[in-house]
Amino acid sequence: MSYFTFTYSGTLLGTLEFSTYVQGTDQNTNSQIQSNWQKSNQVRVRFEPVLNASFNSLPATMNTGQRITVVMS
Amino acid sequence: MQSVPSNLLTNISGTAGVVQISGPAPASAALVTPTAMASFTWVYQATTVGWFKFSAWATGQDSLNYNWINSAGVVSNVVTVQAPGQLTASMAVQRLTVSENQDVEIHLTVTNTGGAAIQNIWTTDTGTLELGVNGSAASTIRVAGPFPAAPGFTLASGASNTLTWTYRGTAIPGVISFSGMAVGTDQNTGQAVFSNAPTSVSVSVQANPALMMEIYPQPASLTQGNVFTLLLTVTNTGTAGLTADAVGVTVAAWSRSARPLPST
Repeated sequence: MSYFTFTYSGTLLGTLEFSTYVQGTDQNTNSQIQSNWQKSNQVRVRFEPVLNASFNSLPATMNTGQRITVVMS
Repeated sequence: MQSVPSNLLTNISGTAGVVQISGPAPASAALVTPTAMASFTWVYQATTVGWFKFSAWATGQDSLNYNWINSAGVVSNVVTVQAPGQLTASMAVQRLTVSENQDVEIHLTVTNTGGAAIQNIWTTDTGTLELGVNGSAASTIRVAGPFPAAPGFTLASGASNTLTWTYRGTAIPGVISFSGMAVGTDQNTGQAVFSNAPTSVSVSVQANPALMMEIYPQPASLTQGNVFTLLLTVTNTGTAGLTADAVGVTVAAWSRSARPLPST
């Protein structure tokens, strides 16, 4: 068994799949031999995730002893 | 992608004391779909006056390539921590003695001796315009007040407002005193704030002064050209004090000589 490795880079958003076959030569007969076509599973190309954060608006004033709820979304 | 908030406790700046009570809740959240959003909640408690603000960021791990991703840092608005609002009331009366049916002014001064502003201040806890009247209450009526006319005022920290009532005592002899208080709402907490309930010094209601006078020419009979003395006896038959300012004497036909009596 042999492994062949390819490296690709997604440049546009969307889905893609790879299809390929392998071809070889019989060493005894020199005849060409070809495998069947094989499809990969689908790969989705997406944006890099980005995190945005923000605070809720807090009251301008509060008392000592008073509690405040802070929400970050 | 898993999104995990940073620890806010290490990102508080300011002069106020703030302690964390709980949070973040949830501790983490999965943001699987694009534009997915999660909210993280903390509860803090202010312990000392001053100001503070939060700064934080979120961090998460890409579920595909396991890279860690940070959000940009965010800063909250500034929060000012104040001492609770506190109302202090004092009462003063215009005079300590009044005559029957004479008006007396009562002044109630309300001061916010706390830190937070106090709103919607009324000068009685019942919402009426009356002061409490002690003593001869049944025969004491409110003539006017309070002035300024509209209760429901606001006092910032250190500010004060004096309200004036006019009452009239109709019973003699009478002793009356007045009591009042103020109640408002702390602007920060929305909780009711009650002042102390001072009582004024007593006001004595006295009978109106009344003058009774007798006149005694001495001697009772005299000759033309003689000098004689005219004795006037003036008596205040009321209980309120009286100052005799001047006395007028009219002598019919003859020449006259008169001097005012000394004041009593």
